[in-house]
Amino acid sequence: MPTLVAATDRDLPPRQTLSSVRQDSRLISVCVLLSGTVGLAVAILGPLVAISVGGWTPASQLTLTLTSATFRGLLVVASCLGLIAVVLALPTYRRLATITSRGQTLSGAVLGVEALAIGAGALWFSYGEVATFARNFLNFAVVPPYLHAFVTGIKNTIILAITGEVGGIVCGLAAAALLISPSAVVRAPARIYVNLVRGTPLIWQISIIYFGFALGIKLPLSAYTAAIAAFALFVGAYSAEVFRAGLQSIDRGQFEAARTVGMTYMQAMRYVIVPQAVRRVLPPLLNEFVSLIKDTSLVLVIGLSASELDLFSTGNLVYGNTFDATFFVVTGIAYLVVTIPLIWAVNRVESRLRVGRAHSNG
Amino acid sequence: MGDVGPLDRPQDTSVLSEPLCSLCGVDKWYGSSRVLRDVDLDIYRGDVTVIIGPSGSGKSTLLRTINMLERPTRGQVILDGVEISDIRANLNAARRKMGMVFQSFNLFPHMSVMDNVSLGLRVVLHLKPESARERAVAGLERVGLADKAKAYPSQLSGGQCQRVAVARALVMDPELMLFDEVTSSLDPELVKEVLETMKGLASSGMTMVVVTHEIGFARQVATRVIFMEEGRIVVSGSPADVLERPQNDRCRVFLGSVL
Repeated sequence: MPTLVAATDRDLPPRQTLSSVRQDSRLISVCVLLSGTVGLAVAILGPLVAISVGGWTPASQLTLTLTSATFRGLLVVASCLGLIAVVLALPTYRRLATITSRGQTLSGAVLGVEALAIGAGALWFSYGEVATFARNFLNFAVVPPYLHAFVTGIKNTIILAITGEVGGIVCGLAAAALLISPSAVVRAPARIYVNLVRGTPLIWQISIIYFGFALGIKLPLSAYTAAIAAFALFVGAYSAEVFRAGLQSIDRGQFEAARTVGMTYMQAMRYVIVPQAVRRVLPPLLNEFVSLIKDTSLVLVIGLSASELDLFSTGNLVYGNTFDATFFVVTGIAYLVVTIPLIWAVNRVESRLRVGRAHSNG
Repeated sequence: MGDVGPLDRPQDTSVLSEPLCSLCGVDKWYGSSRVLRDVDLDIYRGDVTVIIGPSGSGKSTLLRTINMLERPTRGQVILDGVEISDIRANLNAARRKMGMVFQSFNLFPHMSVMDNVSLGLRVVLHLKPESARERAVAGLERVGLADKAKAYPSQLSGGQCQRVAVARALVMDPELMLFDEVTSSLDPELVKEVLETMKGLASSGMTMVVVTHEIGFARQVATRVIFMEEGRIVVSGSPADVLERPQNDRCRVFLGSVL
């Protein structure tokens, strides 16, 4: 029987105590969990430690580490532990009587599958063309002289994305204000703009604005500003729909309540509808921003000057100079450095809004 | 046509012979369905008019026509001698004279109770923050919720929410209060506190139009009861006439099913 923890304070949910976990666990479930966890730890940390000890550069040393008996041995151990976890979990899971033990078995099995996949995959790689791969893609010795170029690349990518997003929010708010109108005549221009942008690829829009408007009809736009304008128009179209949906998702009664107090349309929007809509559109807007960070790579087509290069153009240029594909790996890592914290932030915002804590205390 | 009787005005309003609000020949169409049929209604100062009737009879639409949340398809709505159904009328000014309380509260969830109640004072009446605060506190005291000023609507019970909604309308100092089935979404044990608040309001002389299913409330508080069916005012009279001695068959059937 699980121990029932008396809830003395009504605001605190009863917590699962260590003793109840111990009571509800079964030997088999603990074995599965342990074997899966250790297997995955070995599969990830083992190779990392082995490479760090052997050294990341030069590529020939990396090749030696990746094909060494120690490296392969670690992977075999990891795969076996993972396999054990899966094999133990499969026939026993249904027979376990407590939620705790089932949860442990399930987690252990999932971790085991991961350990098995990583271990076996890395083993397969270790017996393949490691030398060629390491020479071409993991030749980190060539990176340091170009690091400052990538720092500039990150800076430019962020500048392009932020200015584009800000401009896009302005365009989007204006378009959304038209889109919520009951009059079709008012909606029409915004609808045409949104559909035109959503119906064409971004790379085409960037090309048209730069080659068509800036070069073709001699608008005073540099490649950099042309790119920002294209991003702003692009984000504007998508965020217009986000804003429209956000505004229209607010219950009609809110608007009516504001109007019956005597507020004008604009006052009801400003004090009642928009503040509530902002909370709802924040997650999709942040997601859009993460997408824009990656989409800035399309400026490659219009050729920026060296100091203006974004991350992907930088990687591309350096690759053209050195013919070393390692720089593509570096480019990918640099994008992740920027995007992963943002993605994490989006998820936090979303879960906060879902729980509804945003309203209850403030 | 039903037996629309002569309006029984309270005796003490003889000085104010003009009705506060009149509906003249109001029709409302939603597409091809007619929800209000040629409705005439005069509301005098101090009246508590209770509208009853089966669901879909047009009670709520009638109420929402009074403050132009629904625009009549035909007919006139006159408030204080001004025709507010005229397309050129200043609706914001007209709505300032009317407070409305909704079935689903419609409190602003992103604001504290204090901000809910004082927003209109600050934004519409342009009061200074301190005086808006004072009036809001006074309004909350009137509904017995001054201690909840800092709370958010999500932390209140349904009954408390509805009382805040009453306070939000009251602080604007309206001449007419409209109540749209304000107890229908409340748990039974919370209905009483809202009805008590409304009774207090009625005894203070507030002009009220109340759409409700609470026949007991109508009997105690109403100066006039209106029975509606299929978009028409079928019966209109004193609570005693309409509720205790209903002459109209359909009204009798409806009361039989409610009581």
